[in-house]
Amino acid sequence: MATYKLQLTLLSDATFGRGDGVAGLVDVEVEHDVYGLPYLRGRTLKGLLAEECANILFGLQQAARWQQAAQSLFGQPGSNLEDGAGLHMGDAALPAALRAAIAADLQAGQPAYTPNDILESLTAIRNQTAMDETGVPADGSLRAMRVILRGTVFEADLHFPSPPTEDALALLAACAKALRRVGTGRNRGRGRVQVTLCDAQGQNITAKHFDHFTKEVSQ
Amino acid sequence: MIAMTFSIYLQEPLLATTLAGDPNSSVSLPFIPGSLLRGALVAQYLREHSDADIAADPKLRALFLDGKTRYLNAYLLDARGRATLPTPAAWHCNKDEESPVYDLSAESRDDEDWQPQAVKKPFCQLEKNEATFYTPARQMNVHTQRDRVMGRAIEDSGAVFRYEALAAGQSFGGVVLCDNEEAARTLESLLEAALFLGGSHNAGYGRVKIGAVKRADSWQEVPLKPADLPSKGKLVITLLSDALLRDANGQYTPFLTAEWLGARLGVTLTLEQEHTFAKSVIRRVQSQVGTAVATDTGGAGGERVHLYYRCEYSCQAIGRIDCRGYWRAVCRGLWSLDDQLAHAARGTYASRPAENREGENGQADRRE
Repeated sequence: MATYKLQLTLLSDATFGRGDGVAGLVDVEVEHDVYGLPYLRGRTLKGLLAEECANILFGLQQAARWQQAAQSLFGQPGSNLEDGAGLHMGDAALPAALRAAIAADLQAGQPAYTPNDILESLTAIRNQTAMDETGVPADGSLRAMRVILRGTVFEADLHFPSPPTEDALALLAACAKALRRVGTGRNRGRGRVQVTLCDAQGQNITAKHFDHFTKEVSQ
Repeated sequence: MIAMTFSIYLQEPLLATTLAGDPNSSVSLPFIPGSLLRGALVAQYLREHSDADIAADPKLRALFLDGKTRYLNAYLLDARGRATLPTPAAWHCNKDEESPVYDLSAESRDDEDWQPQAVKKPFCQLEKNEATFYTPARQMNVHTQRDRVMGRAIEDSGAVFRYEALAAGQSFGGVVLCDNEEAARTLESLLEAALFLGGSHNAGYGRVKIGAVKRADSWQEVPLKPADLPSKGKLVITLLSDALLRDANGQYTPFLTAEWLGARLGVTLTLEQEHTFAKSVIRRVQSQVGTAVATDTGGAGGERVHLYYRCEYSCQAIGRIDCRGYWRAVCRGLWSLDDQLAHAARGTYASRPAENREGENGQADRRE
């Protein structure tokens, strides 16, 4: 099995929504694990990359070739063993060593901090309200949203049961470069990200594979 | 019979869905069905042997299709790595109390303050007269479906749905029973591969790590020595997994009748209704092998039966339940349990009267 990584660096505060809030505290809570560590779900990340892939394919005139590469990466609804996705995407979480260290501390006898402390150290709460036409805050529109602070780096494991083709990696690198915004409020300044494709050792291989992509589509 | 036992560690949440929850929810079973593991191993085999025709090759049919190789459900492992078993339906405690637990298949209670309540926790570990109960941890995630063009949910393309999955970090104990060395070797190599089980396994769910693969020539679900049954007495049957039973007309039935069981044991059985605890559920069974997708609704939709029978029987010679002929009904769920939980075998009945002795692998050795 071939393993790669996607590294996401937040360039602005981001909210990876959990789908609910905490009554009396925030209206939109971020997804976090039992140790208070935020993460972005693999399904969400896969959907974002698949969306970028669809946009790229729409713009390309060599759609057939890259359509096959897209199929091998993301599959399609109703696919079977022969034409299903060849990529398993894990959750984008904080680096594994950090998570392991925090988990070990919290599972120890008397930890110096709680999961809530961890969450609050990595996030902040932003408030927003709608304004009416007179510039006065509209009634009932105050909302609190938790954001993950910019600069936080997430890693997602990518597993290929069969080694990916060069085209598949090239397209994946292109999708990674195309993905710029993630999460709630991403059209309003939140969620700017820089995504890089790395090998199993963490070496950045985005440029190498994107070069192949640009060379092939330029022909 | 060769038993391959192994642990399945969930590196990511696992969705082994069943019919439950609202239409926009997927709720996982509290265990890993053997069919899920079988499907994953089939997929791995086809990945490694792309030109294989499983349906045409007799050895592969025996390995994956025709029931000669049995993929048992994987139940939760406790903190010490010991397998747990489904809590018998006959175990009850008094309402609002957790202890003591009474086995109502063995006794009746008619105290004035007795308000029986079934033990709710789905799995148990029994040691002497103490039982420890377990519930697998679950993780709930809310997902939204967005329209790809609009980038958000719209009227015709968008939904909020929930996945209630088995939480990551837990271990389950898997068992595969096979007939021959070649099948065992093939299974061992397949179990070394990285597997992804269950729904949504391409993104965020289903990654597992198989470990502690062991092989045994004799294996028992419950580590107790089989003993000889007296010529007259009580026989208690507990199903350790869902059972799909067919009646004489070939239709699915939720009833494990004394006649059906007695015919297979070669004895006359009488059912004690008051000590029988049976429940059934509808579960959709879907099998996907290769490129074919077949849905087997099991007649009424697939049924699960946990049964306790307390039967009076007169024994002439208790024959071996041949699980090969009834692999779906028998080897997935049938075992025998007497008053002292002294007899247990998944798939093969392991107790004989004094004149019949049983070999290590469950083969009956009748003596004249």
